[in-house]
Amino acid sequence: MMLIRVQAERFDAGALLNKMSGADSDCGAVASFSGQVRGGNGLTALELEHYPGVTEKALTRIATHACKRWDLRQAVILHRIGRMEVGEEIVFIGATAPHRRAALEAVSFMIDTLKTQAPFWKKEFDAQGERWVETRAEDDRAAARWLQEEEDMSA
Amino acid sequence: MSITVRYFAALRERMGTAEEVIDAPAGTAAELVAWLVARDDQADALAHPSTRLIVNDEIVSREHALSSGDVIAFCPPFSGG
Repeated sequence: MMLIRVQAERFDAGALLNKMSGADSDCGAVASFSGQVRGGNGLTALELEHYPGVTEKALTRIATHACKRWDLRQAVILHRIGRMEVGEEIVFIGATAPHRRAALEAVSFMIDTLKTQAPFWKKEFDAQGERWVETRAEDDRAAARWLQEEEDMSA
Repeated sequence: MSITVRYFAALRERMGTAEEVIDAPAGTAAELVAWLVARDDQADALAHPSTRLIVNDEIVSREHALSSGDVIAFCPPFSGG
């Protein structure tokens, strides 16, 4: 089962996790990642823009890829758009599987590839004004590492 | 040929519009970029290698040949998650 959603509304990561936990009796592992707006450095809020339609396709492709590579029962990607205050949730990634390694690796794969493959853009707000967030080189490296592993496996 | 051009995030702010329909000569995405830069200096950011091109919802290279009616989106590097 795959759940892909892009929404402006806040969500409850705990409730999502509880729902995933009870769904399949043959699952020994439930793994998740929750991203939230990081304070500090004077940041007051974030604004998330995306490319409607294309974003959902990209997220579906990422979750489908994860389901093919690992033995999963569920893959969940939920991402918010619009304005968010410090401490608010941005993204939830979840996976359930019979065994822990598949669930943990799939979650890691989905958040790493989301950062470089899904058309979202973040703008930061602070007392000085506003600025678009630039992609970090380490994000590119994290996503590239998964693809490199696949090339190595098929070689 | 008629092309719908969309700009996102920093590129939307730089171009001053989210979307425009233009009548451009037939050619590749790279040739469209050159045409847009010739029309408006601000468009030079579209030529930057980090700018990603999405045509009819699929990421394409700059060698991609455009057809009349295509929707091309210019995207700064993604920064979600």
